[in-house]
Amino acid sequence: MAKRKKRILIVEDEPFLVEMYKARFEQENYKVDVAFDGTGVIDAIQKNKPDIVLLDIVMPEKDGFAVLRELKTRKDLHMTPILVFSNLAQDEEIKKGLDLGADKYFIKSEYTPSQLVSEVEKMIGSAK
Amino acid sequence: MFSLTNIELFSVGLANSAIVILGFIVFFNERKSATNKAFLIFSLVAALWNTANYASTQITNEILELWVLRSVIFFAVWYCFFLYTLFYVFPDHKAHFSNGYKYIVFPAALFASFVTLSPFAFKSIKEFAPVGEVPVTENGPGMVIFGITVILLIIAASRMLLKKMRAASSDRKIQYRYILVGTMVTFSLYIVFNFILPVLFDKVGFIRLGAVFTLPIIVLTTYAIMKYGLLRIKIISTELLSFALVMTSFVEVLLSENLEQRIFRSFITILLLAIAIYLNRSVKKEVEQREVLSKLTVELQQKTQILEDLSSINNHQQRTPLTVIKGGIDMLEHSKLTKAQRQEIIDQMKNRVERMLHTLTEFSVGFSPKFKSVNVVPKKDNLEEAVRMIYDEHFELEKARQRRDPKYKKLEFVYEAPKEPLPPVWYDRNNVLHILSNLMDNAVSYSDTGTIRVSYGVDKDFAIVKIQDNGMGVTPEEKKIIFDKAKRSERAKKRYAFGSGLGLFLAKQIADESKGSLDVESKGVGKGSTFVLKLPLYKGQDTKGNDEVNKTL
Repeated sequence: MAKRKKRILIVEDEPFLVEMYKARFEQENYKVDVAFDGTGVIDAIQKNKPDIVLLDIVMPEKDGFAVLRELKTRKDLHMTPILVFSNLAQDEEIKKGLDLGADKYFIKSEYTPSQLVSEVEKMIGSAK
Repeated sequence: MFSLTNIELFSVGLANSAIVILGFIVFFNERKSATNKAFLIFSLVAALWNTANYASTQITNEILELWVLRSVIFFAVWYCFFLYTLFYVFPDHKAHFSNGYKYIVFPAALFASFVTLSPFAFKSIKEFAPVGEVPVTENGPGMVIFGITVILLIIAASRMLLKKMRAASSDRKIQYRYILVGTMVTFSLYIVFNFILPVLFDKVGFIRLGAVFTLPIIVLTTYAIMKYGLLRIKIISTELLSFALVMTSFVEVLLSENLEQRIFRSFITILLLAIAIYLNRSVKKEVEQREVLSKLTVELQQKTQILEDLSSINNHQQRTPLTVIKGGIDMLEHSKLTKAQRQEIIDQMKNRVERMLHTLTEFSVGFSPKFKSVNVVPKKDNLEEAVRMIYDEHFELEKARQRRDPKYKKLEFVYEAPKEPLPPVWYDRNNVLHILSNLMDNAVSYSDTGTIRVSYGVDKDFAIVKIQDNGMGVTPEEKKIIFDKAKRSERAKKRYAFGSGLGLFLAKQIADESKGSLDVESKGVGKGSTFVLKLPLYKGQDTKGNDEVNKTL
């Protein structure tokens, strides 16, 4: 039986960034799902059962903090590792993200796509 | 010698004076306020009740004693009625009494107060008590009416206070808490010393201290009413105190026994008067300065908050394009890409560099306290090209989003080219690109459905660009602040929490500085908005009033 591909859910509203990360993770043999807004995230986690969620904070309609808050109440989903990947870089914002249950909080502009891949690999192992 | 009775008289007198003085201080602080009027009446009635209460234990004449006792319960009814009225009015400036208040509560209190004066309440005195104690009375059925009225009024007053407290905003809640604590302390004391001890333990000696028990509610209510003008108390107290001093001294003049004394005392009175006037003026000045200071402190706190928010938003807005640029370099270096992919990355990076410069200008303007106006350098230029460029950019970006995400909102775009080519316009293209980009960004961000329509017009000496959407619209209140620096409506914040409130501010500055204008039209919530940008047509502005004229000839 073939090993199941590692699956990642990218939640990000900036189309070009999505395209870039998607391309980079697919190169590393990940299966990539995308949500452009916070609203569909819970459904996507339930449906696709990703191994990790890459969650942006500043998004229209429903932001990442709201997603984290909702995930907290969902016992069935809260095992999924959440990596907040946001350009909100103030201490209080980072603390807020971690307090709301994020496993890691990375400041987006400090990571290149390659560095991001290697951080994700550290958390859930290589997809290859 | 100072007997116990004297100490009691002293404490009752002191407490009662304090109650009356506080009543007047609150009243004089803001004479037109219904709350303050209600408080003055309440404190006066409380003082009358306390006086009657004390007198009832001191009188030795039977007929007089009967009437003093009746007045005690008479004032008790009005005391409870005005407690209710005070809570009814607080904290409003203007009173609106309901029909229930006018036709039920007030007549009921009036009726009960008449009953208390009639023989239906206290029939006669059965056993006369020595000074300092309460006599035993023969009571009639009127006492039941009195009891029920008083209890109902107190319950109604408490319910009123709790109801208002629950509905109050958090900063107002503190005020209610003071009043609630005062009321609870005062009424607990009444219940213990005027009811439990006399009825259950036969200890009646504390009833005459009622005035002391009334103090907590009066003091804490005074504090609650004056919370926002506590400094004013200082002025009013100084006025009252100096007035009392001068008056006392004046009475002494009148009571003088001979001319010498009268002249000396008059001199003292005039001196006191002069000092009083000086004192009042300096206190007033000091208080006014302190008020200005506390107002400035609040303003400073608000400004600091705005700056803090801006700095967080600024940080985010700068990092976002940097992420793309940094990621793009990484992709170009380390990934296998087709030629088309490489080109797209380079285009995106270029675009982000421009955006960064954009936000940098925007925020340097937002952060600069000395900011006066933007630097606009107009020249004769084609406006349509600039509009078309920004329109296309947004159109492509939205269409790309719609293609990538099937659930993404489906905005339509319509570009209505001018029927006749637009004449040249006198404007600064770089700055106006900023306005256009901002208006298009907003049209997209604040719409879920409908069409973004760009159209043109010419009005006398102005070219007009209209950017219309079917989005969330603008209310008349929001219109007042929409172009203000760092101000955003609650609805806008709810929709997109990270806007800086600088975009439209700067856009308007540029439009004004260009001798044009920027306005918004909207029929209200959910009915869309139209932003109208006017810029002056080229009428040889560069040739007027200087040597350039010769060159063009």
